[in-house]
Amino acid sequence: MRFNNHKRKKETKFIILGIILIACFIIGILSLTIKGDRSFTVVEKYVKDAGIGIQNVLYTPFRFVGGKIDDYKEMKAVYKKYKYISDIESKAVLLEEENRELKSSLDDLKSLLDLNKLTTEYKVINATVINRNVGNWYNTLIIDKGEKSGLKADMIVITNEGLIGKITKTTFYSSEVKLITTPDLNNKISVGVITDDNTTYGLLSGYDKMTKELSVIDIIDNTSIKVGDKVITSGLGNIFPKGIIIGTVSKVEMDDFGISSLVKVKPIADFNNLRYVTVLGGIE
Amino acid sequence: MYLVVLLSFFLDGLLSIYQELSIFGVIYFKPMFTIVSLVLIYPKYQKDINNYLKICLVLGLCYDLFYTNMLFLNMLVFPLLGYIIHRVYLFLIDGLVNSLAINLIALVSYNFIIYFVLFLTGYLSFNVSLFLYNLLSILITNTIYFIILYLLLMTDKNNFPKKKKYKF
Repeated sequence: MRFNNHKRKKETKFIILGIILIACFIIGILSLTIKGDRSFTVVEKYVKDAGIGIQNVLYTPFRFVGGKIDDYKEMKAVYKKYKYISDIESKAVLLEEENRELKSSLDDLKSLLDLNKLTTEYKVINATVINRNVGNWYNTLIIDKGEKSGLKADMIVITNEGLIGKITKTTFYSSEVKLITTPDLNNKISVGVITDDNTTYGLLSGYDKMTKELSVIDIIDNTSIKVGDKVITSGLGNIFPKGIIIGTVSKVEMDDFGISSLVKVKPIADFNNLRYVTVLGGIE
Repeated sequence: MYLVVLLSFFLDGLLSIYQELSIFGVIYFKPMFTIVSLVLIYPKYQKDINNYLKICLVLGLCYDLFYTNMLFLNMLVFPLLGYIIHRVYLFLIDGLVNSLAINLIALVSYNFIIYFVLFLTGYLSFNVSLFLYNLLSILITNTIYFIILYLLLMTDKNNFPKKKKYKF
């Protein structure tokens, strides 16, 4: 009887040890797959593209109805624009001259400030959002352009309002975009806050879903930051080009340690309505 | 039943782009129809639990391949969820309210497990209020879907074979 109890205890210990080892192994594997710089395997690429193909077929009626509604809205907007253009037609010659002058000033400023590239010089690729944040915790989009359209990881994704994220992974016909509102702890972007005196640099880190504000941390000099100041990408780190607008300052406070400032930023892009996005490809 | 699962699976992706639609800025549309379908199809497999867990495994793998980048996460979580659903069903009789309760348990369990794993692997920080805030929207959205599907499927009695007795 005692021997059976002893044997049972030993077996239980081995079972518990086995479960702990398996759990550690699984968490290790999951940590590797969660890594941001992991690219898709060939099997994953083919399976995802097949799934997206099926989804595109199923999505056709939704797109048709949505397209008709958008067409109607666009027609109304076009008519308004036509009226406006008719009014300013006479000023076209003057505008052309002004444009030539501005272009020349821009070239001078670029060489003065030693700017290598501007956002207007990037090749733009328009894409449609086909999936968004399935599973609720990842804050990613899937767009309908991939490697075949020249997209690669780390390309910037914007809307006509401002920055929304960057491409993390691509398949042949789709790409995954990680949004700047992701709660991912590894997602930090170097930004600049444009004040009256100069530009103050910090790190975009975190998004509060309740207040819908981004947080900028590690700002040492906050004396001149005020509500309403624009926040743009700083260009440091060579991932995001300089000058893409992210949002405006909504609050300035000290961090928990009282050493640096914590700036709350209201994003300028409407993350509630992301249907069509633009990817900034390579330099043209 | 396979149709219910497939439909829910693809609807998760299709309707996910409307996730930011909200009521009063508090309740968001957050579909997790795949999980709901697992709860709905269980009564058909209550005598064949092995097959049910195999379906959960395959569904989890497809979910990982199509929607997330985390290989094996849902492939492991879905069968675990299937087992939880199996154990909870043993204690409850059939009916809309009880099935709804199991649906809520399944959704809470799934989200808790996923959130915990993402926290352990350093993907997310631990934030109880964010978790609960998201959970509220998830529960409301998927409860409505569950009720609609349950009422539709109830018309066919073969889909929901009555339990002869319940165990404690």
